[in-house]
Amino acid sequence: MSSTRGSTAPSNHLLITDKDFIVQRPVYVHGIGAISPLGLNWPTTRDALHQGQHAIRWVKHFDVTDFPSKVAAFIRDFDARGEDRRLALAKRAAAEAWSASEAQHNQRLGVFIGAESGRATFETIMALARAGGLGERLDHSLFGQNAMEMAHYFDASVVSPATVASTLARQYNATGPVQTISLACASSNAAIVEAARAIDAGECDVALCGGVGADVDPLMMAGFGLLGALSASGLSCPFDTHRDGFVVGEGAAMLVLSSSPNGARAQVLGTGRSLDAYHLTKPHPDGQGAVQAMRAALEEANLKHVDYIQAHGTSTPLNDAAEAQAIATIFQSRTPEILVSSVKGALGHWIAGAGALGALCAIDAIDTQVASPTASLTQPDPACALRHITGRALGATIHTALANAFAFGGANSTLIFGRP
Amino acid sequence: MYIQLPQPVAITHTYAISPFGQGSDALCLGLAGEMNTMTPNALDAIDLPRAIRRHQKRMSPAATLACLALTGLLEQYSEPDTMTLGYFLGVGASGGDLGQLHEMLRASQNDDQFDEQTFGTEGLRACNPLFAFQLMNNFTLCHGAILNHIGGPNAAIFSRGQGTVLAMMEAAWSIIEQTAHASLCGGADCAIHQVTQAELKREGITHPTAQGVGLLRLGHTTTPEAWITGFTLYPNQQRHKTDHHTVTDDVHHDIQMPYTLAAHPALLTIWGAHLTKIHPRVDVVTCGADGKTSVVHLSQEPAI
Repeated sequence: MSSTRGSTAPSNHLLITDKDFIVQRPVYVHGIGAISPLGLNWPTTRDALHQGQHAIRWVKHFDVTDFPSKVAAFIRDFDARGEDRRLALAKRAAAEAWSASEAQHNQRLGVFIGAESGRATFETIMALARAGGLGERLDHSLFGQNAMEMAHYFDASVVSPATVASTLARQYNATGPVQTISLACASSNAAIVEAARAIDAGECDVALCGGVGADVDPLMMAGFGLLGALSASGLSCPFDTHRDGFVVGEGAAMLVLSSSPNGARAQVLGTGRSLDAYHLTKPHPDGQGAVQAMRAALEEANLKHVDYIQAHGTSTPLNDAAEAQAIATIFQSRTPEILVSSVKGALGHWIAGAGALGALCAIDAIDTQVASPTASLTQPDPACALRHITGRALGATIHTALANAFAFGGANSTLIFGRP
Repeated sequence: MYIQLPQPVAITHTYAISPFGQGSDALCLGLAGEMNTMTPNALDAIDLPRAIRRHQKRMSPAATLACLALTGLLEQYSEPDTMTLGYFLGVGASGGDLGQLHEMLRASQNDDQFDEQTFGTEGLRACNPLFAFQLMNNFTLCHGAILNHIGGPNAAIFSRGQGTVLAMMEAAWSIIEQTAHASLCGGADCAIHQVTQAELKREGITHPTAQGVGLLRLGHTTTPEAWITGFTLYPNQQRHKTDHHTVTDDVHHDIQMPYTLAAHPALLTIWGAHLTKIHPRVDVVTCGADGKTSVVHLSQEPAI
């Protein structure tokens, strides 16, 4: 049985009364920030999302003529100025979230970021291949001899997943835990879970958390394309009958969490995580792992249902059907009452950053009482029978919102937010 | 920052694959100086079970190690419910198999130069369709979880040392907060790749390196191997020296084992748990490749 996070009174101290009873601290959302293909900050992005816009475009910065998928959602008006793109995007979103936060910045800060490895340039990768002789097979012996001379090619700040969290920790003088969660598409949702838990447990008082994805590059588009995971038709239309795969997107989304309720936008009511333990790429057809994660989050939040779900909704045939099935399994007869949308229709799939973007949409729905639509969803699949928001944003009474993130490999992570 | 757990958490079982061989006993014998040989490429010395061999093409060496250790650990006892078993693992970065990258890039050349259009046609044709699996770090955790039906709360935490301690801390909290009836935790890494070694050397770390994985099961028992009472984390420290040592009450043990990156803190915690049979309190101090120092506080008795 999980403990109840949402029911405790605000407290500035972690109180531990005895070994069997822990009084947990409530966790609140303060600042939020994002940079996306629809805007260089969260308000611009949000307004575009509300209007039903999308940012899926033909990739032009490298040759995709023969790639399995030729479109992506990428940021056109952003120059990383030679910095690792993940880092540049994350810093921008973090600065917005931090400046918008009324949390006490002098408190003990933890940093929790969902990120995958960065990508070396093709120049570096080619140099590697040449070091191996570029013969029929990689010459490991020759490569070993040359590798030391090539060490300068491997800039840890470019390829390490931890670069983003470490850099932000230095920038904001974090003295609490600094974590990098690498759970593929569930990374940043899980990073927010970790951040909430750390505040809960008194390991830090304020947490900068979220995630970043910058995978609109030839290697990832080739890798995912060859798996058959990307949309050949070039459409990101979650839950639609025409969906045929996801579209890669890029961006960063960040949150500042704190144990202080003052000036909060929302409260973290519940979290849940699970593993499908089923297949490397396919979700369990009944959505068992997703059910387990959502159920754990609902139990922690002490809720039976929610008003709005920001779905993982990738636009792949299997994910969307399994997620819809999981939602129906959990909420039963109340399923038709719950508003559902997926931001991936508009902004594509940010992989490690996707969960944080979904969390921002859920928080914003509570904050503004407006839920964004699923862009490009015009013909809902009967196998995904949910109360979809289509076309434009919908004003509604939203007390509680759930955000899902599911990953290749089977990791599932769910967050539930409520009014502060 | 010292984090005292509100209640001590029991280490119920452990499993290691280290330069000293398979199993925690081999690790402890080796660290006690009772073994003369070490095999840095631990995987080379292991005859993989058929169930793992079938999937090996999709697995990185670290994922294979984690999978082997997971299977070895679960064979030690009867797990009541793997679907609510937590799993928190410190993992290294995945960069793709160089042999496969090599084939792809070789096919992508035009006039001895990399050519984007040729990459889009010939390069993609030469690419293993499963290549993307190797680029994501979480697969070190997921392969084993799928093969062993582990479905509880989980996280793959990127680690050059301290991430593995954070993974153990998350696992401890999952027991305290009762989000899992038991949790597996530790780290797996393959530090023998030439690129890794070159990178470490550039950063001034000249220790020999090795493959390794250390897994601990945290849960409830009256007869644990040891109790975890807390953790101390020092974030963003400058690297003073890359030493890895175990400190007991009054005894300082220098560790003579090649460096296993993300696996190292877990392997040394297993050794530390073993040492609680002799010393009432054991602090396992590790300094990661990134200079972050961590301490796992262990005790023989549950009292803090």
